[in-house]
Amino acid sequence: MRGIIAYGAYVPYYRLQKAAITAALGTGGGRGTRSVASYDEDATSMAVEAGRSAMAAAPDGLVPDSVYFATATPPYLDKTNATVVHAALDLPSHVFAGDVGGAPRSVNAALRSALDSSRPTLVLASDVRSGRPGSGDEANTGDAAVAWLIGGQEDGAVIAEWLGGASATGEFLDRWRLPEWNYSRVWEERFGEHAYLPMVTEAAEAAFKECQIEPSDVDAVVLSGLHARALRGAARAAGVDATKIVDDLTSVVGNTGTPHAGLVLASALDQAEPGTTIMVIHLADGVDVGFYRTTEAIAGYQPVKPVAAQVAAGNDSLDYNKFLTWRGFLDREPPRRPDPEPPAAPPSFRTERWKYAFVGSKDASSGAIHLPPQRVSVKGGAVDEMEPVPMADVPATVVTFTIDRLAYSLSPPVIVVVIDFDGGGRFQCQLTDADPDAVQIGDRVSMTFRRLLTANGVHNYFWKARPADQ
Amino acid sequence: MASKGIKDQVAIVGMGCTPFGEHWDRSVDDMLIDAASAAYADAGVSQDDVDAFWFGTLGSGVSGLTLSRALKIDYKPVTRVENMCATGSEAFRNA
Repeated sequence: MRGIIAYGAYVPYYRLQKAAITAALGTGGGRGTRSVASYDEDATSMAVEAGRSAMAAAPDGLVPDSVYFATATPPYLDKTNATVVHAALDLPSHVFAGDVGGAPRSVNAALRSALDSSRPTLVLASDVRSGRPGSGDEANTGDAAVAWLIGGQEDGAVIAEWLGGASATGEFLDRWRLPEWNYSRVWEERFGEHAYLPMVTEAAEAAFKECQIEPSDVDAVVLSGLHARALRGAARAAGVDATKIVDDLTSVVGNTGTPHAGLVLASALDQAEPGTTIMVIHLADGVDVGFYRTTEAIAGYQPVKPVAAQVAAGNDSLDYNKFLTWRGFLDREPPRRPDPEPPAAPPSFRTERWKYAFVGSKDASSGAIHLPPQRVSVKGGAVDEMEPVPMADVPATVVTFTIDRLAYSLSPPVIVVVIDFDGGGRFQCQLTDADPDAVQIGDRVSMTFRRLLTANGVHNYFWKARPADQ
Repeated sequence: MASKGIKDQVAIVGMGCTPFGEHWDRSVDDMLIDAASAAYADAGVSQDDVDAFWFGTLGSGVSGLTLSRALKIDYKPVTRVENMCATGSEAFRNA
């Protein structure tokens, strides 16, 4: 039996009310909200958050053999982004990490490989999507990430068994983007519908036949893809009951592209009873259809950060001007501070476990925890008696804070906090996803992986604190 | 006229020196700890026995903090010295 052993989903904190777009431009926008990755997030940082949730819910000690990261919005080209995720998840060097990239269908390439493999595999998908101001993509897309730990019973209890599937592939122009564009173009909607729907029928019929499943056996349908018009006709084309379609979250989160089918599947699994047959129909440059069936083990599975909770915790007070600035559509005057330096490669490499995985050191003789890791203990002065201590998942409390309106930031002001970790260790860092007027001494925080800034084309990834109840 | 020197008034009781090279895997902190540890061992003293520190660097850190943070020197004075290529001997002379 092979399938999903653990999963994690990440929906960023901020939401943009689509009405704010209409109010500003007189056009575009709509009703509802879309999720917005913060100025300090990107596809890689969100993938790390989803990956952390998946690994936290996975059986103790299970280490994937490979990590595949699928995104249509990679922070780097010509450099692997999956290795950043690999480092942030503190995976040993024998674990392979590689990108599968460029388009929303790429996640299915990764999943196919994972499901066909005989080794546990971590698949991550993440996108930061928008479009030109006033466009449909701006209003209707969203930002999110998902992570799947795929394996067999020998790796851990399979909570959703993969039953099989089928696909249909053709070459046609649905949507596309040149690497230097910050928006995508789409061909005429009716053409896409004409190209997709026969493929939906073809793939669905083949999948039902291959897996010996009847449409009436299907309990829930996850229907996803970026072509809205084709999706509206897809249930009928697949021969399934449209009332079984799982809420695709597009009215609150938006269509998140590469991770979206996974996000909707995660929200279904968060609530699924054992023995639920879920059909996934994904439209992206072709159609991929697959079936999962939840097992008894799902009854005992605790998702870390269920999708519904993250959706509910969203903050929809985001200003449209901020959204445009964060997404690069408004080239604002930066704060009058010296340009930040890029992180140099040798120190980043030397301190990889600290910088990417937030691993500190603990002095054996005094027990003192050091963040960043040290060789000389601050208590007792012992030299080189340190053990690495992973701190990313340890909760902390705000000891003091300051609001800095002059420091360099892509979204001032900067909230700097001094935090004490449960069990020892003190650290000074930025607080993100927080209202500067609401920070209090004693607030509980947890660590989150972010992109601090980009200098000279080098992304500087590190950790910040964020309020614990979000 | 030469300035009155410190000849015969000072003794060097220990020294430590790291190898010279392209050390991708050693940071400034690492080299400071390695050199200081070697000097303490050579002199037969501990860090607590030292009353004051002079720390010379041109481009690898500012203030005495670069040294005191790495070595966890509490409540002792640390002076950062810089005099271009003569930084090392200048720190030595001041000490």
